[in-house]
Order: sequence, then structure tokens, then C-alpha cells
Amino acid sequence: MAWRGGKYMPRTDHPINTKIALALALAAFSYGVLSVRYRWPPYPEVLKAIQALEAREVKAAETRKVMRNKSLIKSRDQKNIVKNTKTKVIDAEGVFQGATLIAIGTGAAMLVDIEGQVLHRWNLPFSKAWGYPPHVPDPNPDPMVRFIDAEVFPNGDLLVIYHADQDTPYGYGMVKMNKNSEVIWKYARNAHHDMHIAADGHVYTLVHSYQKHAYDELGHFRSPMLADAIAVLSADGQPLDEIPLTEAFLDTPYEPLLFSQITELDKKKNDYLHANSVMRLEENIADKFPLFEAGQLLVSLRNLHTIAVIDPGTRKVVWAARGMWKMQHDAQFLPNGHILLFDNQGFEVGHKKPRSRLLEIDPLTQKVMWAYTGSTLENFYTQYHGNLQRLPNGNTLSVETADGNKIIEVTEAGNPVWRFSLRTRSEFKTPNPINKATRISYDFFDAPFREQIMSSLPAKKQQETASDSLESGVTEKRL
Amino acid sequence: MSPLQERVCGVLWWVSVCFLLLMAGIMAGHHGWVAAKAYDVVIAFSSQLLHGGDNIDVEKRVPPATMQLDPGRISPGVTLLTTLDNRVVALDAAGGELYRWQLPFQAVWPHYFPDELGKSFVHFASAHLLPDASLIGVYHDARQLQNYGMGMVKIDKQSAVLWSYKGRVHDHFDVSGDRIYALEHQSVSSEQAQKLALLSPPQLADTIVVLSAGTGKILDMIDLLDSFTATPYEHMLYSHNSGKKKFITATSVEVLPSALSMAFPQFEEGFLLVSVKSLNCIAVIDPLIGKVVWAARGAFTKQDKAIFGADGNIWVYDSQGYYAGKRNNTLPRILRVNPLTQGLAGSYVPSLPPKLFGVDKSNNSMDKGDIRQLDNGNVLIAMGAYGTVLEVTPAFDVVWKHYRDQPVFEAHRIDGMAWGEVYATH
Repeated sequence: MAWRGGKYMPRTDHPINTKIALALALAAFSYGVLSVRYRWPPYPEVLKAIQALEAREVKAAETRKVMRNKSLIKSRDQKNIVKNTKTKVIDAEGVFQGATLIAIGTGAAMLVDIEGQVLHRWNLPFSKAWGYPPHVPDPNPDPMVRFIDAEVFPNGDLLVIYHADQDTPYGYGMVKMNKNSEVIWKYARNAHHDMHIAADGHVYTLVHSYQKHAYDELGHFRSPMLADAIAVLSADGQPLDEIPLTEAFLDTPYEPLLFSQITELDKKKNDYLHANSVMRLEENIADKFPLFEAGQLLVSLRNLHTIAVIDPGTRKVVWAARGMWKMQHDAQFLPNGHILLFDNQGFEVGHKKPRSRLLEIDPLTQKVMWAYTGSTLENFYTQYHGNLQRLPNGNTLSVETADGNKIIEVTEAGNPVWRFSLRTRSEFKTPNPINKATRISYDFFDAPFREQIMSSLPAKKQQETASDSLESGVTEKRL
Repeated sequence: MSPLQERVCGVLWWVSVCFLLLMAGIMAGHHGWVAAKAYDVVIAFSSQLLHGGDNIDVEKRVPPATMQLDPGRISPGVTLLTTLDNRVVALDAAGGELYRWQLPFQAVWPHYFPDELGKSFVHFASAHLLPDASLIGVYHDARQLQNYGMGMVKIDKQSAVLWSYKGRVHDHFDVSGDRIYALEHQSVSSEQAQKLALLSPPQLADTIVVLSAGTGKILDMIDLLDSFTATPYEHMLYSHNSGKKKFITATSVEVLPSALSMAFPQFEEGFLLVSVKSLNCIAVIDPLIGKVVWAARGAFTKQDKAIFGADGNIWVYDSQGYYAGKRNNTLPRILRVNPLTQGLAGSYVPSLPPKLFGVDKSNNSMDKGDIRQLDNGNVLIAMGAYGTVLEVTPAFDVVWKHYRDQPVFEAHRIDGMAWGEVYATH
């Protein structure tokens, strides 16, 4: 219709022929359908918008679900979790004596003795550590943010990495606090999963960023992607360097690994590598690794089922292996020249319940030098996360985070000697209540902090602990 | 409103409508709202226009062709191929057929298949030409995804049977001196199942069978399941990725020849390199003790052939390791693995024509491929489902190409002088 002579009149001079217009309309609709199939423009851009909206909705829905559930929030509080844990010393002679640092609950960590008595607590919820975090524009509430990694210093300072549930990027940064949970310094990047404090005091960690540019060589890496990098910080938290991990593979003989089947898990997030651990090869053990040099960095890339060693000087991968492990975590150099890692899903067959395993391998031959797979009496499984520590007496401490909710110490023969676990998991509808555990000899702590934590023990126990310390010697947390 | 303004408004109106319909089409495609059949029709039609369809007419798709891209660097000799149509053919450098062996399966075992349909799917999968002009061949049933090995024969130049072995031998085998090393499907025994809790028969676990090249009699057997147990590589068995029925399925066995033993100081002449597809691993076995002395997983997935390379690396035909960016869409590639460091020494992804056999996974030729080290340092690569044979230099320059309208399972290069003697005198 057209407005003519003061009234609407039927049009007789349509600008576009009706048939042509209908054909154009049908073509537009068909093009839209086909653009999804063949990824023609503008579908890739529309897809990014759809994914962003979906991610926001998922995050909002999960946040609402958690925050409306008071009992759930209560169950995530460290004190409530601790009340419902049990510690069992299975073999007092076989246990490696010391305090265990446990990241537990949300925004909290604690130090416990062998019998599970709490020696010291740190409690710094994310919102208290960061008023307005510049690196997290819309942070999840505190009941959804926890310590994923924690390292204690001799004076009781604690360095932690925050992780958020149901958010991407989920790394909420790094904070160093004193023994009274007061902030010393903060690192405002999306630090995630793991850190390593080198002998020279530098801190190595993993950081996320949303990367918009794609790679010509990697057509299947769609942007924007969650890009991983190794960040190097000074002892006081100043950023010194950042090594992007995808670039570390390009133009090396290991580039083919980027084309290997990537696990389906995080494709929607475009999280192609999913780095989850980093460790520096220290000078005192470098001679045990003929393939590597001191200063090189071992990383675990979950979604490629690969562990890799990167030279920080050339910023390139010098070695990588995709072995019998799958969805692995926490790869570490051992003083004996082997690599220890937590194999979440590589142990696949022959059992009614799924099992994880701890693997110690010779990187030169891929020989399995030691393995722990649990037993019929001691199920051992965590689908995601998980970490472990080789102790000076040959025992291994490991945490089943996602599914097991327990910490267990086993001997070289695979016999459990110590266990810390939740009493009844069903009461705690929370993911990952126990996130990280490290056994530390009392000698590691300086005298003032040691006296403080020991003062909480009964007198008799203080004496026993003091003599055990003298026998066990100093423990380096990462050897 | 002036006529011009009306026109402009009209055009803008239609542009807006088209844009909204475009968005509607995107939403419909993204969420799967469009009726499945209508969508499939559109996709099939567009696929036909753009790619000639997914189901390929073999005869029209890849005409046989041979390209001598760099004659000066081609390894001289005669190329021996095994193809899906039950022939072993010998070709010259220009692709001309010099000779052909052909022996239908039913001629060897006439009572095995009662019907013609069964007979038509059995073909030569691998072959080896002996100096006396006799040929050893292994039959496969193309329809079977497991237990597809159908037997081994030795035939003379006229394709007459010299001996036959009815064991379920399959895939790539090797001949060293007067011994044949082949893979044979075997069922997991009850004794093995009792020892290893992870087994749940009925399951297949391959064995290496050693036969006499002269008589076809069994000389030795090496059980692959037992070869891993009680070694530092036993955990490979627990890292099982394949279907539960095919517990250990291998696809190639190769003997370390004396000429290459210096390139592999950690192994000894006579050691056996096995590609264990179901475990996604390659392993080296000491045949005297029947145990794995080295094994590795790597960037490869469902790999086919593995060989000892003249450069001291193990070359692997990686059937499904190269993720091409779409779900279930992988391309084959060649990887070079350094057995001393577990490192990758290089990779090669050839550009290939579309597959002869498309997405139909009922045909077990999908993952087949062959690699052969040639005397001049080049490597001969047969890409099974693509009907393609390439000769590449150590730097992966393609110097010779051959396309067929059939899958090519194996390709050998026979020295021209030796062939001439065989062909001329027998």
C-alpha cells in the first residue's frame, strides 16, 4: 500500500517484482540453513554470539541454583567439611611424618597433623581478597570459588590459586597471604590449576586468555579460543614472562600432536590444550634427565593426553609424549629421572567401577617404573583433577578430588598407610571439596611458625612430633 | 512520501525481511528445527553439486593414472600392488602392467563360502614376492571388522597353489630368510582369562605365527598378550581403547634386518616391530624370549603399518591420528618416531583425492595403509582407501604417484634387475 491523495492506495509500481522477492526470501532462508552446515559467513560470528549468550545463561542458572540452596552453601564451608572428615593412620610406622596442607572447601586451606588435628587455618574468600577484580568482570559468588592449589612458605605465608565453578575462564587469579590470611600481593590474571615455586623463588603458573586470532596452520582451532600460557612471576608477584603454549608446538617436530584427536570434552569452550600442571626442572636433579636441561618446564595438556617439556629460552617444545595415560593431571619431574603423573582415565578395562592410576614412567623408554591403581578394597578414581606427591620415604600421597573426595598415602608396594576422607559424601553435594594436599615435614617451617602450629597439639604429641622431625629431616615439597 | 523515498523504503523493507529470514535460517540450522528430511535433501543436493556426492562411483571417480614427478629421484624397479579385486599386479614406472597373479579364494578353499556373495568380498590384502618367482599372499574378507584374516597361500608364477595355510592370518607380514612372520587372529584362552582379570572372553588376541616359507608349516608362535605381561609395558594392556571384542589386534609385523640393525642400537637384528592397532601402540619384541622390550604410544591413532626406517626412526602409517577438524573426520598421515627419545622426528600429511570408499565403515579397508623403505632412502606409501601410492623422499618430496580405482593395500618396489631375472627365466 502507498499513501496517495490523502489515503492509502494499492501500489501498482512495486520496486521489486513479487516473484523475485519471494525467491530472494527463500534464498536467504536456505543460505542461512546451509551456512550452518558449511560455516559460511555470517554463521561463525553468529555462532560466537550464541555461544556467549548460552555460556552466560548456564553460568547464571548454576549460580542461582547454588545460591538458593542454603544447605549447599553451608556444606561448602571449610569448617563444616572438616567436622565431617575422618583421618585414619593405617600404618604409623610406614607413614611419612609431617603436616599435611589441604586446600578444602571454598576459599580456605588448613594444615593438619597425621591424626587429622587442625594445626592452622587460612581463610580468604575471593570477594575479600579482590574487591573489584580487574581480570574477572563478573565473578561467581564465594561459595563457588575455591583454592585449587596452595603452597605454604616456612613462615606460614600461603600462595593460592582460585578456581571458580561454572565459569570460563575459571582461573580467578593468584594471591599470597600471610598466616593470618591477610593479602601480601595479588596477581590479576586468570591463573589456573597449578603453580611451581622454583628454588630461586620465581613462581611458575598457568594462565588463560581468550584469544581472538586464529592460526593458519590449525584450521580446526576455532577462535575465540581459551589459550593457555605459562606465566613466570617474581617472588613478589611481578610478571616476568609469559610463554604461549600453542605457539610452543608450532614449527617443531611435535606440531603433529596438535592435530591428534582432541578430547570432545571442551570443544564448546574451544579449550584445545587444557594445560593443568607446570613444573620447572631444577638444577639439583637435571642431570638425571639426559633428554632435558635445567630450567626447562614440564606441562600436562589434558585435552591432548600429552605431557610436554618446553625450553623457556627458545619458547618451544623440546619433547612431548602421548602415552598410555588419558586426561592426566599433575605431571612432575622426580629426582630419580622419572616422571610421575595422575592418570585419570587411562586405566580403562576389566573393572566394574572405573579406576584411575598413578604412573611413574621413564621418559626415555616409556617404561612404567611404578603404578598404583587402587584395589578391590580401596577404590581409586577421580574423573577430573587429582594431584599427587612423591614423599622422601618413597611413599606417594594422592588426592582424588572429583569423585573420591579423599587423600591417601600409599607405599611403594601400593599398601595404603594413611587416609583422610569425608565421612559421608552424600551430605556434601559439592564438587571437589578437597582440592590439593601436600605433606610437609615440620622442619620445613621456621621456628616461630612451627612453635605456633605445634602449640595447638597436646604436650605429649608435641614431643613425638619434634623427635619425628629430627629423624625425617627437611622435606622439599617439590624435589 | 516521494516516489524515490517509497522505492528506498521498499528496498530497505525487503532487505530487512531477507536479513531476518537469513537469521531464521541460521537459527533453524543451528537448533535443528528444520525438518530432518528437508534438510537432508538440501544437503544431499548441495553435496552433489559441490563434491559429487559422498557415495562415490568408483569407476568414474579416480581414473588409473601414474605420474613420474621427478624421474631422477625415483627408486628404480617394478612396483607390486595388492588391490581389492583379488589381484597382485606388477607395474613399471609408467604404471603399465607387466604381470599379474590372480587366485580367487574359492579356488584354494572351495567349500568355505557356499554362496557367491561371500566369495566376492575376499581379496589379497598383502603379498610378498620371493626370489624364485613364487608369491606368498594373505586373504582378507573385506566385510568383516574383526576376524577378517582368511588364510595364506604360496603360489607360483602361474598362480598355481604350492601350499596353503588356513590359519586366520591377516594384514602385513614379513619374510626373513626362509621364515615368514605373520599375524594370526586367536581367541583369548581360558588360562589367559584367569591370569588377567581385565579379560572377558570371547575376545580376540593376536599371535605372531612363524611359518616355513618352503612348506608353510608352523615353526613358532609368539602370543602378543603374553608378550606384554610381566614386562614394564604391561600397563599398555590396561590402556585399551578399542572395542572389547578385539582385545589385541595388530596390523603389521616386521623383522629388523641386519642392514638396519646399526641404526637401532637399542634393538638387535631379528627383533620384531609390531603395530598393535587396538592398543594404539607400537612395540618391539625379542622373539627368543617372546617379550616386549620396547613399546610406545604417540600421536598416532589406530595406526596400520610400522617399519624400521633407514634413518633410525620408526615410520608409522597413522590412520586416524590427523584430526581434520570435523567430528569423525580424520586423514591418514606418516609419522617418524625416534625410539631413543620417544620424540617425533617428522610428519607428512599427503594431499589426497577423496576416498574411494566414503563414510561406510562396514568396509575394513578404511584404515589400511602401507609403508616400505626403498633402497635409495625413499619410502613407498600405499594409502588404502584412497587407491593411491606415493613414493616420497626422506624430506617428503613426492617423486612418483599412482592412482587406481581400487583400494591399494600394499605396495612393494622390486629391484628391476631381480625382476628381470625372475620374469625372464621362469
